[in-house]
Amino acid sequence: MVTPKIAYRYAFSKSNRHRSASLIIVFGLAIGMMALITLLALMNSLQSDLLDQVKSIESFHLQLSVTSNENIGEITQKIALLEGVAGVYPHVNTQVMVGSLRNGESSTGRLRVVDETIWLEENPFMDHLFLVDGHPPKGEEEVALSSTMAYKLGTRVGDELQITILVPGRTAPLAPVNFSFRVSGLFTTSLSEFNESTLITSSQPLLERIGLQRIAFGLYLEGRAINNSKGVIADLKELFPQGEVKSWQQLNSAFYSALTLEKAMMYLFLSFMFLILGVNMKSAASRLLFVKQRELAILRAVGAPKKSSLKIFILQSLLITSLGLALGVASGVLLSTHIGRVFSFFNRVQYLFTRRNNPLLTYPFTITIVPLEIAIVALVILLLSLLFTYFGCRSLLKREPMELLNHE
Amino acid sequence: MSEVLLRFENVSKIYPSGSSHLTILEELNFSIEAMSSVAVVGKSGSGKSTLLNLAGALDRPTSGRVLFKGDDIGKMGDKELSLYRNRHIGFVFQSHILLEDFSALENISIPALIMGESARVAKKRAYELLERVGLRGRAHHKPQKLSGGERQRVAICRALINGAQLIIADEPTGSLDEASKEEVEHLLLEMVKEEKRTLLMVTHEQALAQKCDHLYLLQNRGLTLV
Amino acid sequence: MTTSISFKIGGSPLFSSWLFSHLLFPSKELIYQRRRLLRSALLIALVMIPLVLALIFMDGMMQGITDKYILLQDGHLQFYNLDELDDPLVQSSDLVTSGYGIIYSRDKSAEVKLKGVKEDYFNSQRCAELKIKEFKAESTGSVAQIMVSETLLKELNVEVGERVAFILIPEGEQKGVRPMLAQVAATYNTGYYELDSSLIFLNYEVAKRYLPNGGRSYLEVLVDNRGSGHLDELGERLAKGGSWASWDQFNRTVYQNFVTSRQVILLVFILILVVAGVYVASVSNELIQDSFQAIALFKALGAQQKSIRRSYFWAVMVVTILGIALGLVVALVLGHYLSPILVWLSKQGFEGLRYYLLDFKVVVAYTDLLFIVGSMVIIASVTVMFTLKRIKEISPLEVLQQD
Repeated sequence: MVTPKIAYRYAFSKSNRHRSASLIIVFGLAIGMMALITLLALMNSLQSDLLDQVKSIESFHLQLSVTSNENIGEITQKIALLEGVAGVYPHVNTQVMVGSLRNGESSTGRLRVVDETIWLEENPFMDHLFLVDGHPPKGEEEVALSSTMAYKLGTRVGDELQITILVPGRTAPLAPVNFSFRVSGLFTTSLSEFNESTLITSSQPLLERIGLQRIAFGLYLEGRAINNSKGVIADLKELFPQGEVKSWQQLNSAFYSALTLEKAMMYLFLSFMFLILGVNMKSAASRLLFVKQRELAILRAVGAPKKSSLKIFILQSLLITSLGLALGVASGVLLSTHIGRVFSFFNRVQYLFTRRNNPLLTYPFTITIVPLEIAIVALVILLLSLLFTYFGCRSLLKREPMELLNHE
Repeated sequence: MSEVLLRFENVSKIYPSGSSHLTILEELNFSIEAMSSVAVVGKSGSGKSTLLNLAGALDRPTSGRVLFKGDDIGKMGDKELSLYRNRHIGFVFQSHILLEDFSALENISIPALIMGESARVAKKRAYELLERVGLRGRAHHKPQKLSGGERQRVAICRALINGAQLIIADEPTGSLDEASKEEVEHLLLEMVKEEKRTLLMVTHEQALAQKCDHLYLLQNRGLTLV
Repeated sequence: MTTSISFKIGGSPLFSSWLFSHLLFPSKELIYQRRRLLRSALLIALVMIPLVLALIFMDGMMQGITDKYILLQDGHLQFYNLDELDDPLVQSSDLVTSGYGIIYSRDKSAEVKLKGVKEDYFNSQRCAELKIKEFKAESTGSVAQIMVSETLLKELNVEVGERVAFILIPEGEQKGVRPMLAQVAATYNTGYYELDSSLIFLNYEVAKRYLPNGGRSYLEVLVDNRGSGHLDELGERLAKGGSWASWDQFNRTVYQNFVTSRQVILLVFILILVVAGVYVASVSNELIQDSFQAIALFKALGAQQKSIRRSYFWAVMVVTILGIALGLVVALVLGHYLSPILVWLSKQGFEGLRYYLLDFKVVVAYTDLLFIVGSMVIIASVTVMFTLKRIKEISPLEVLQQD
């Protein structure tokens, strides 16, 4: 019981002249952890929001392209039975020309022909897409339009559109063909590119004109398979050896690669924070040992074994680091959870001077705190601190007590 | 009769000690004339160092007044106390307390620099003092390279550089060997006399004490002239 | 009774400078102290470097992208009244016509903007933003000749000299679409994928013939530096009641993403500076702890707290500022090599770099750097001031204590 008492006293006792060193280390660690956690939470939020939407709306979790004699319904059923698969939606994306028959406005766009069950079931698509007017398209002659595109075309629910698609021609490789649709509904998402130019329909005749061979099967996964789709991919390859399976990362490879690059850059910045914290801890550990050399010498001189002296300093280091980390984690989680309010306040201050909103400060963060990340960071810092103390102590303990005293 | 340089008027010093109090000095009345040398002797723990600390404004009395040329030291603010210590007091501690990272010359110059002298003037004065104590050749040596006696001589020079009227010496030869002791004793008394300063000294050395103009015994929380 | 003590307010500046110089330049024997100062400055410099480089990258890239969009796609201003413009702020005014459509090859299709321009359109300013390669392809009759980006050709799997087809958005009262054939006669490369993947150039007269209703014609205006900051006012003035538009109205989304990224970098910078500020405070605390007895002695010898605090404060701040300056200088030097390094990395196959403009001029946002330096100095000052309170607590009596 003496060891913890001495360790605590060395760390925090008011009568200890070097208490300020301990307090500064605690404070430094707390600030460092708070900054690390906030940065990690922001990074995760910015990236996961975007990735979530890309996965859910743009490209599904997996896509399978297959040439098979079976019909689409049979293929869909087979895939739906696989473990980890939550939903299967055969679809085609194609470039189109859209013209409003009411006012003559035209634009290019991207048409997605997808089974209408996608609107009726619970899935990531419906989690991230919001119908602002009307209803989902049903049957052969209805189409849902993104709200931005509707604005561009000056179109409302109920208006007629002419959609021109390119299909294999008799004499030309591709030839334009027109279809008429009625706007059944307007939707919006948080993906600006999707919003700007997408139309969605489930028209079977259209699908047949485009070509059934162009159909891809979009899969939504569930449970662990969402983050680890290897099992599902293996199953698909077994089921359709000639098929081609692509993950959402592969389908958006450049975009994903860019996000990975940005994440790498953020981790680089994080590592600099780590570096500063690490150097701080190293010099703090040396400091705490240096100022207690005399005590260490006296303890040795009165017969304390090396082991118990080492224990005292390791425990001291543990106390100080743990307190700093605990404070840091608590304040980091608190700040991250309320970061929206903090940013909102700063945005209001900025608005006072510039009369403009700040894009970052008004970004709708949905903070993602990953406990594992925080735990790893905290553990690493704790280990580093103990290691620095251990090695520092070891070199001091190699010296004789009188040597330490004479150093004074 | 000379002017009274320092006077203690009903000075008491009490330290809190757990739930009770420890009285070191009680209703002390004591004065020192200018240009005199005063030695204070007493057993260990009698309060000799406390007396010096109060005289040098390193500590404040619990009650009573310490007057330097009529001015109450106890009423001085932090700035005035700093000036008082810099201009009027020269300390010679038992263990010299020189700054290890600075040379002998720099250690001596510090009070002059604090007073506002230029480095050139401070150094010039420091050299003169070093010459006086026979250490001119060691001006650029750090304290680690000086012997105990040499360090104490440097400490004496530091105490004298600003023309302090009151030199306070706490066991100035306490940690020296016999040969150095004599040398330092002689030097201290001689320089104080030559510079026409006042010396307030605490010592265990009877021989040194008796060389002073006045000898006091501190016991039972009071001073008695011997 | 005379008052023999003169009261001079204010610490001695000479003593402060002397102490400051000893703290900043410890003697050769004090290896640990020297290393500590050097380590502090280097660490701060090390932290500054990547952050400044990231800012240079974002600013250079954003400026480069903006320049490309302005010079090649939209101009600073567009006027739909085609009367000639005469204004000292107008650098150039070109009559262009444009249309939108889908380009398709045997295998692929893409949404594009077709832009009809006259021969003098590619002036020296514009030529600096792209590399053009012309080919003497055999003319295939009345088919329009177009200049397509190397990027788009690759995506469409088309070679120079081959034909491609378009379907174009109808203009005006025209109903329905008709395909248009064209031959690839030249290629260009701006280095920016987003622009290259959707912009096609052709001759103005040809465009007027082939684009539905002659396309949408307008005057594409470039203004000089004086005008670029006041586009709205200039637009109003030059339009004389007619309709007009400025470039940022067309490219808001692209720009906004980068602005957000830049803000994130600044935020990260501030967080790191806060952590660095705490580090500076610990260095300051160490300095004070090491000089504990010296500070007590200085006080015993009459030094004022103010002088002592001033010396320690400036010693730590000078090291911090030197570290910042060193980091800035190294980053600014490295910044000049950033673009070639990124271009090289992109050629090694880093697909993600496609989203960025890698061939950019170095742009240093001095205001932001000043803000960052100022923030660091303020944060460090505040944290150091906290540690300097310790000096007040050191009593001259402690000079008599051994530790």
